[in-house]
Amino acid sequence: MSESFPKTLIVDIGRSWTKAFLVSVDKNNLIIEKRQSLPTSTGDTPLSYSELVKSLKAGSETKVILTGSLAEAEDLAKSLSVVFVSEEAAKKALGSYLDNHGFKKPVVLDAGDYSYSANTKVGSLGAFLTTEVSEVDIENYFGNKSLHPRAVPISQAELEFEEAFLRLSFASNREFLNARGVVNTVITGSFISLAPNKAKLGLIIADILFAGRVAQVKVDTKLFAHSFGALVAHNPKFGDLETDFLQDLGAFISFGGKGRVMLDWGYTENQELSIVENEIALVPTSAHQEVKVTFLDSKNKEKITLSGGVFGIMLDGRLKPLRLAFGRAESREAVKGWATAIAKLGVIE
Amino acid sequence: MICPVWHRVSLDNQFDLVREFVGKCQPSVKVGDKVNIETVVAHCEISAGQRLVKVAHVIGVSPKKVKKYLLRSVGDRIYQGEIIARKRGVLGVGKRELRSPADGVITDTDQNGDIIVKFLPTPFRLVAGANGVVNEIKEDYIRIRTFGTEIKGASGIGKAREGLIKIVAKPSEFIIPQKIDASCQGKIIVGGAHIDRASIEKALTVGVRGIVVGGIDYRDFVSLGIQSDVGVTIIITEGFGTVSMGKDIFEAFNKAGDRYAFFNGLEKSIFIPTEKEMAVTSKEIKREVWRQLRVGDLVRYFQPDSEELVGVVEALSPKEEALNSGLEAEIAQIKFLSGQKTGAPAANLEILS
Repeated sequence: MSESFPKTLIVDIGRSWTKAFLVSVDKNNLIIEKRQSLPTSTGDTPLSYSELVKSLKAGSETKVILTGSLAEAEDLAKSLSVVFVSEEAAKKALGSYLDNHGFKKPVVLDAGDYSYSANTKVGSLGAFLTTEVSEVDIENYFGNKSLHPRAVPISQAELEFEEAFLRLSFASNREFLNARGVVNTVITGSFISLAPNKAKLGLIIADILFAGRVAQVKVDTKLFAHSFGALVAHNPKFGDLETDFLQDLGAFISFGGKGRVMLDWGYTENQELSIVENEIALVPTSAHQEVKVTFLDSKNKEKITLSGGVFGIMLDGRLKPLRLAFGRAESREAVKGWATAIAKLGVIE
Repeated sequence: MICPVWHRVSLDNQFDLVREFVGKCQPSVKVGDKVNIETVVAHCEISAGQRLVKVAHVIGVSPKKVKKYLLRSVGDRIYQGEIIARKRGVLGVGKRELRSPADGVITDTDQNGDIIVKFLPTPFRLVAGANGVVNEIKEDYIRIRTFGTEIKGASGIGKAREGLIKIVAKPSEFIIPQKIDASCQGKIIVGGAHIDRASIEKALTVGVRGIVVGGIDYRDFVSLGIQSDVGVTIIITEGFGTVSMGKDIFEAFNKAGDRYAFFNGLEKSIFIPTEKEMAVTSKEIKREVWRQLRVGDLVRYFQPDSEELVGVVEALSPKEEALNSGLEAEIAQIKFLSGQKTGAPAANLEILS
């Protein structure tokens, strides 16, 4: 272990969960040796921390970095005399790291940044549900969630509530809304990072993308993005190492109706693809495959470079904003239909 | 897995009852004094504030002429109902009088023909409310070390209030307006799986001091203003929606009968002092907030629309298992008090002390 890269324990104290990562360096790779999460013991924050340290068996020589949005995190770092990296500093460092690694002007959509409030538009949220529920049911679910923020969704219906809420939250992210050209997006957060079904994850992104917008998306599969930001903020040399916590989800193109594209794979012949209104198509493309995409129906025939991922390149011909209305059977059927279609199209794992 | 420890029902335990001063108070006890339920611990004066009385407007004269019609001067003590200004009419026509709205002192008159009446403070005796020993006296409260039953709910709103307990519904019933009548005035009504806005309004009209119920719709709860006080304190024992009040909590209230209780919405707690005198100790009262979940722990597993809330952990999974949602989590096998068993994510549990 080089002195520049001591074995490090990063503890991210979130509002509902505390995550700990024991990392080391092997050659030029940053290795997550162990990771563990526990609910944040609000009112007794040191308990989550000490249980995680015990569980990960971090030796006394291990460097410790604490980060997190809670005020208690900074107080704990002071009392333990360990390094504290603020949430802002960690986010900034993560952004710079991604920018320096070719993922220019990234937008990080972190599920942990959003919490339900009485101002949430329940009708808009309910429009994405496939089961028949009332506004009161939705409000009560999130009301109870505020009492038990660490609670894990047990049923598919509960997971749908969470996913619908994330759609609204992500769709309201100003950076995401105002980004120009291809929006380089990183998504992270418990139900995102640990999502068992990548197809549904792809659908969340596709649903929030307005007509004419394109996004290149990576997903943080280890819930490590924020902690990595804190690590790099503290020691920028860690940013030069190879990491594997970000998985390429793929590229998402929202036409908002019918559309045609020319895909230049770098071979002698290009591929022309067209989709009809309300069609969703996936073009299997690996994360390492770059494709030059020309929008044939646009005036300036602009060309953009995209790459694939587990989803490849998704062409979305659905009208945007999505024609969904809470409480209507047709909407529930439409949402169900899209989820089924995406699941059938399959992903490249 | 670590879980929060919820001290839902603590029977006959040692507690500190904080008696907050109302208005200006002069303690009549000192630290170490033994008190009983009826001991007066402080003499207080509740200030009723002051009021602007529009004399010129009421008796129909110009502001400049008001002094001519006043029967009392600045500094005079006046009593409720006493005539303080009078305009005589002609042959009894146009006669107008202004009576004092309360006991007070006229402190000022102004150019608009108004007078300011400062109401006299109302004397009030603050009683201990519980048997015990005074262990702290501060500027705004007295702390009494006592024995009693404390019940902690899931959420609540409203300031500290007190009153007699009255059970109005079974754990799984709805508290409907018809269940709240004049007999509930000044009381803490208990029971039920749900209360709606209409019933809360009825409770306010009747003069109910507090409501303890299993559930309430989130929209009704927030519409009352989470940090404000609408005139009645509400404690939700289980959560939002229709949720039967836990048997443990309902039984504790049942056992207490129609005793006097103290409760606080923001602290989500109800305290029922023990009637018999018990020897208290001066040991610091410390309580676990979180701890490791263990086999044998009594836990609460919140599931909306379920009457099965409390059970015992029979086993903990050594590794994460997939849930119906597809997510993976550490699982605890729970045996409910009814004998039914289920697997639940350990993160969703609360340990009951």
